[in-house]
Amino acid sequence: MNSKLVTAALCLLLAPLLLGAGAPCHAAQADIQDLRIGLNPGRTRIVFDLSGPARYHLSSNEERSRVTLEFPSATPGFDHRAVALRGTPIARIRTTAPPEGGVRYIFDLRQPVEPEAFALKPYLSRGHRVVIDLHKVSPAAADTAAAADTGAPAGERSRTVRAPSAITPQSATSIPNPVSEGLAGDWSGSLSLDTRLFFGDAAYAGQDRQNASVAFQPEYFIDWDQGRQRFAFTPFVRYDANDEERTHADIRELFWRMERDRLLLKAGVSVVFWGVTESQHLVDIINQTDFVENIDTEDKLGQPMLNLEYLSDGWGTFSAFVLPWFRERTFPGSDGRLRTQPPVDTGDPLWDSGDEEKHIDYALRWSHFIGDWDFGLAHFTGTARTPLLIPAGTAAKPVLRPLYLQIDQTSLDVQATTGAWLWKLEALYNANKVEDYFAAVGGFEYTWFGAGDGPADIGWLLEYNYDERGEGLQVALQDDLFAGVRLSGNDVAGTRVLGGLTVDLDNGSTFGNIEAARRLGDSWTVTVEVRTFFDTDRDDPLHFFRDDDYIELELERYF
Amino acid sequence: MALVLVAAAQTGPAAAEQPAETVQSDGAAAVEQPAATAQSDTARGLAIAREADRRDQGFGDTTADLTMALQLSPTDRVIRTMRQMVLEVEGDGDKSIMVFDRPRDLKGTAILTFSHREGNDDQWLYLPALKRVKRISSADQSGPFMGSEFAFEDLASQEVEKYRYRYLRDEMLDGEPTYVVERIPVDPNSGYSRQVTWIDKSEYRLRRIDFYDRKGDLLKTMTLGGYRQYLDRYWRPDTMAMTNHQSGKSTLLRFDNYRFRTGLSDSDFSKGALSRIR
Repeated sequence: MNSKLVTAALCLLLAPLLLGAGAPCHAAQADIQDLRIGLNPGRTRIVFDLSGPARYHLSSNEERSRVTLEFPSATPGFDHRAVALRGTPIARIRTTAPPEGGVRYIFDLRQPVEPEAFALKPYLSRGHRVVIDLHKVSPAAADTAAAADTGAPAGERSRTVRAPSAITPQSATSIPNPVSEGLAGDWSGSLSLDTRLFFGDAAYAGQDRQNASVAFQPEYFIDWDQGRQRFAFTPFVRYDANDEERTHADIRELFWRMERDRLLLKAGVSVVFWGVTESQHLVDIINQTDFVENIDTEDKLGQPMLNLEYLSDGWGTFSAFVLPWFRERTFPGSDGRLRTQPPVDTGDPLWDSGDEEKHIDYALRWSHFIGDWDFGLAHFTGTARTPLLIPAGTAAKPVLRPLYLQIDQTSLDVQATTGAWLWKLEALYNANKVEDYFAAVGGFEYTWFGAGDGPADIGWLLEYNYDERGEGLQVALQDDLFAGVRLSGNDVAGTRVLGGLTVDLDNGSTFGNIEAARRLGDSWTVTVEVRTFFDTDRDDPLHFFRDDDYIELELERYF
Repeated sequence: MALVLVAAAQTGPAAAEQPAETVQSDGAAAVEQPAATAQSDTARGLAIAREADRRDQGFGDTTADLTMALQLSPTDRVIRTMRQMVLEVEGDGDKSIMVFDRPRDLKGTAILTFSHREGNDDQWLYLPALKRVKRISSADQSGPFMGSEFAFEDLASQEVEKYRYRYLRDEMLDGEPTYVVERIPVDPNSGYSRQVTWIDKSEYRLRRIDFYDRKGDLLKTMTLGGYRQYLDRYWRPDTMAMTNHQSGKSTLLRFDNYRFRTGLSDSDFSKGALSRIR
């Protein structure tokens, strides 16, 4: 066995113990295992395969005819003379041993190049690597560099793109390269802190006037097979100071996906959005709403699914879903604001199907666009995502029990985009054993670009919501008009505001909503949400929220 | 019509109505003529634009990483990073996707554009938080891109048909002989009354653009630099520096990791693909 390998293995095992003890196991003790050369259009790529991470330093002579890569503390474990150089711009490879240790590779070139070096982390079958790209140089390009420098803003002139004598590893690796072979798994996510301040006293016992809550959503994904396969994992967790039902965790995504030509197969937990309108998401049915998150129904629970999608040649996209497990809607607990009275008892749902949550649902969707028209036609058969709420419990402790019906729902969503106008329509027919119904929402969004000759855009929205079932506590939007204004600042902070009123034309119940957000620096956003409910009619679901006017401040950190 | 930066630097990849050989000979002839009349200036300007366009045909597809440095004041600089994929479409404008990596709250947000030689482009926006793909209006592209000094239209696919041209003069720019050509946007919603472009004679590369606002005043200057040649034919700049003369702010756009003919196809530029990029 190679003694260096043994040393490396020992170092891995003992590193935690030796830290702080002047350990000899510096990450630098990497072996240079191989050197590969690849020819690409416009550049030659030299790849060093390493047994571990190693520091390196790239330099070139003034004529750019010689490039040197130094590893201050790595050792060569292969014979560089065996590397084939035919067809490459490299005339010869030499090595020297600097007195302070390590190894120096010198590449003598047949023509001037522009070298660039960067490190790659282990990915699939490849381990740690250091790459030198030798870019082809032409005399014209060199001249252009001078021109560019004169025009560059102050502070950018020192950029080391043109014939650098030394590119530091930092400068070369700080730039993300999505398509490089080195793309490994990607972690990101966000942590948010929010507080809701209610303007009025609580309507029901147990509720508080203010609330604080924290949520965390990391996201991980890794692609392989040249990006044709992906694994993704997005857990979510929230802690709420008041409402134990709002303190919850979920898996938003946990899936494997494969693409082959025009076919796509996805298995696991995922989120899918359908629809075009803003005042409600009528036809969006694959995922259950995470209602404790926000009453805007835009937060969704992860849905287990098997999804096969086919992108046809000229006939749009066909998508089929098998949904083997039903997710129940979340509702606030008795201590939470923005709840029904009596509260919903999520622990004791009623089921139309004897299979309960194990009922297998199916969905098909065809979506396409022709010119200015985007449309989707879908059918869903299975368990309704929106439950009916059935009074139950005892006189002393009444509750509402969610009833999940079996439904057959056919839906259409259309958007016509003509100039600054977006015309939108969502419509569905829902067949079930209680009451079949038709529902629709339609309207427009008109954008005034560069409003008042400034940088911002202002959009005007108007949408009408209809539901055949008519007035009642089960249907919020049955004859309701939504009018709104959207502001897009187009500024560095990405300021955006959406404000609107939804008025019930039957009974006058009104919901007012303002959402405003902007960025703070590179990684933070602040969001303000104001919701008011007024003139609520006793027969309108908004009546439950009549005392729940609130302002929410949310600070979110992205990483 | 946004974001085909690659093409922006090259005065457009689309084929002209005539076969390439014809365009080339027309172009060469027109370029050599002395500018005698207004009409010949127009023809000569168009010929230069077509020749630049012709030289960029056939690139197939490209990907690149973009870093945008917004210089808001001498001490305040903001960085944006994006990735771009472009697919050349025969007989029409390019298809492109731009994915945002930074700022981090926009990570995964992506824009798909089918640019067209005539009329508005088709454009979709992907919002990763909602997993929602939204068709958006491309009617007016004069607004700032991400708060930078670049307007959306500066970054759009620069099809020959989107401007009317007029040759102005020959000029030395930083020691290089160039054609100076004025171009007037056909789109009535453009934020510019006209642009003056400097195109080098040796390779027909766009080297500088002066942008004049709707009132006719000089608004911005863009300088393109660090050109490199790929596949022995296609020139791409490493930097596009935009200076706003009216506000004093500037934005530097840098391109890294250009790749050509990476095997992208139509299906990589669909609404579904947009939502899967990440």
